[in-house]
Amino acid sequence: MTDYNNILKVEPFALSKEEKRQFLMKQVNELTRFHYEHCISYTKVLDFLGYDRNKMYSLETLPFLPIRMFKEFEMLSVSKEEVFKRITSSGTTGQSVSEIFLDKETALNQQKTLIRIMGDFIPEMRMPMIILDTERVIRDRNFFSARKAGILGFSLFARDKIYALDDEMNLDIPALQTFLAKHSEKPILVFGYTFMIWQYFYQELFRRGMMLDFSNAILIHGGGWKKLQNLNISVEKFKRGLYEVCGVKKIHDYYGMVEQTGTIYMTCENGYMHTSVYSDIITRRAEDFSICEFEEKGIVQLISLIPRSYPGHNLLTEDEAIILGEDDCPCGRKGKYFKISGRIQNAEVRGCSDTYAGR
Amino acid sequence: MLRLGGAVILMQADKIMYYLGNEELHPRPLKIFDERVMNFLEDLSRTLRKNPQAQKYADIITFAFWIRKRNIQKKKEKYQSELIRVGRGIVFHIAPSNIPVNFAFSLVFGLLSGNTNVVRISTKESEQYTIIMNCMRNVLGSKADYQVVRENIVVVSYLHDSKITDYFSSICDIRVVWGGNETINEVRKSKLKPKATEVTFADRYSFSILSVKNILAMDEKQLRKLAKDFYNDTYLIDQNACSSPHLIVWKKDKEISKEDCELAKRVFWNRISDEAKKWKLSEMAVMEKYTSACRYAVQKKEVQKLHSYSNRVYVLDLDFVSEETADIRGRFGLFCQVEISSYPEILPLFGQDTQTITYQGIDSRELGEFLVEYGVCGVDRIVPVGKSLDLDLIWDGYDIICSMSRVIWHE
Repeated sequence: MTDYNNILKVEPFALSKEEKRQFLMKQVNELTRFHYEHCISYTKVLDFLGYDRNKMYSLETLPFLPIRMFKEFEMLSVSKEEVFKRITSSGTTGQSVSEIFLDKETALNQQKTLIRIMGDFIPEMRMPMIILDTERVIRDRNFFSARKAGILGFSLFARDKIYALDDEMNLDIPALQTFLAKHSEKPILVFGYTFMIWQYFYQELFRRGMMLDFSNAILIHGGGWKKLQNLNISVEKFKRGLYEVCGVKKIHDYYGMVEQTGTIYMTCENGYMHTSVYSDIITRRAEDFSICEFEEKGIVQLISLIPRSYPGHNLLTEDEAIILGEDDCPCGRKGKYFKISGRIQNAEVRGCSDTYAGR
Repeated sequence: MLRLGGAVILMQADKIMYYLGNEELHPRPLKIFDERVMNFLEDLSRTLRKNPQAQKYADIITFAFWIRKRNIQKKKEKYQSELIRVGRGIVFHIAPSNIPVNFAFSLVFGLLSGNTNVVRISTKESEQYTIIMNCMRNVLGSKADYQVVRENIVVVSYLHDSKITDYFSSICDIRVVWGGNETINEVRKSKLKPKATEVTFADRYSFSILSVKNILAMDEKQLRKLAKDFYNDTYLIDQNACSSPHLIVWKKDKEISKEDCELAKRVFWNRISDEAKKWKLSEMAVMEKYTSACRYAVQKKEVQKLHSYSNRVYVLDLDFVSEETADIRGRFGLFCQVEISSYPEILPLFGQDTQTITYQGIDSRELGEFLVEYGVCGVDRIVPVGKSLDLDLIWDGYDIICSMSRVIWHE
């Protein structure tokens, strides 16, 4: 298989449509064959779907796994002895949890890829960093490790770092002020989960009527909008609110899956999420899984070149998105750019359920 | 609950909503198929069929047709006997919540078998409930003759509360539970009187048997009809009913070649795929279906290849069946298929959980005889494709009239 370091030599946002297609097609065919030969559950699914290992498939016709398979089965393409880390995530259903098995190589490739992608968005690779969360996430075993993995992942870019919340989720304002004063000359990286930022940072500052000076900060946040949408808080309101309490101008939301940690999709200056050359997005129609046109909402399929220890390189998610175009975003980055529309609506089940059987 | 000189005071009374009738229960068993009950049902049938709101609901209209006197009269004839059959007393029904109209069927079963009925319906609002109960109320008040029927109908709802279930269970002579196994287990914690009996409708498995030869002999019109019937058995309720098939068994006669069999499958599934175009496909259903198909591919050795007809029809080829094949439960249009030359090949499918076999082109009597000969524990119904959802007085292996009545022996 291709050495992942060679893949990383390609600039993250430089390949145009045809070049990227050829590049990804070769890599994803290789990965598919590799996992087919190394993960028994994956072999069964691909045989079922009619996969032929001797055939070269186009990117769109390669088989994709439903993302919930990682909640129901241990999917591994390496021996258990080689597993070095497990990442789990809470799911939509609340109870079932995805479990991802990482070997050293895959874990390392996640970090390297994140560095490559982030290099295009942050001014320096090492910055003073404020984490808008509590350090308990890192210490406490009860936290879902996806949040932990996010904090640890982005901490790669920290030179000097501080957690803004104490163990009881209180905002430690004096500590923040000291930290800001110490690094007043430098750009600062601020990282957190969307909802946490709103609840424990914005609302606290707003309540106290206080201002902090984040004017030379770059804020990166992820973890979805669902909770904020329920509170009727739009992207615009989020940005506006934060600007008012701390003067932050550069805010980047990112999208990604714990199943494909590393290949994140960063929002550019124009508010669109971007695919790097190490990953791709395809949107499909519910009717027959045919490919959506640009600007048509569809079910999100995500491709990532990172996963080697588990077959998570080609997944059908339960999110919906609209791809707006490819290679022509005004921000200048090549690749597809898109907006996430949310989760697939949960339809009510008709007929027999637990309160009913018999007809 | 307190008993004061025979009067029953129910402590939870304020938590119970009475739609029809009230807390005063005077069980006065009637003969089965009492003339007054049948007349009441005929009147109710006419009222429902004339009601513009009721006409919007196919399930209400089906119910209205079923309770016509002519239909009930035919059922009654099967129970002609020298024996005197009367109701047992009070029937406590726990009706299903997802198909609202079934509360009415359950109630009618109780009335026809001569009982006083307390029906617990779901607290979820439903227009079908309102329409049916309004019509019932009007008809019940229309003739003095129906006084006795009125006293036999109580419809209540209450939020899940074991004390209330305990109470009704303690006074009833028969308890009818439209389950889900979990619901049944929960309700069973409430004690019955020593002499009381219970009828439960548990989770079940169903499948279809189709004759290859017969399908190949059908003309286009017959195929369309078959597809429509199959659609009504499955897609209409998202394949969620206990009597909806999950598996198609292709029965081959001796002279049928491999190719013929493939052709019959194609003929059949193409028609189903056409028919399923009217089904409202949701993203959620597609994800469920794709995920469970992949899941079964990993879990089940017998699962071979997937044939999909857009995302509306998924067909999983099986190369054999075992007892565990019944664990493969399709939803939203996911089916397994297997070929057989003779019934013994599918013996593992006739287990206790199997309820309905829908068929096309086979001899149902011959299959029934086979089941008896082999002494299997399952299979309660063998009905043609299209009739899987037809609720009737024989259901889940019960003769409902006999289960809910008693015999007065006389010499």
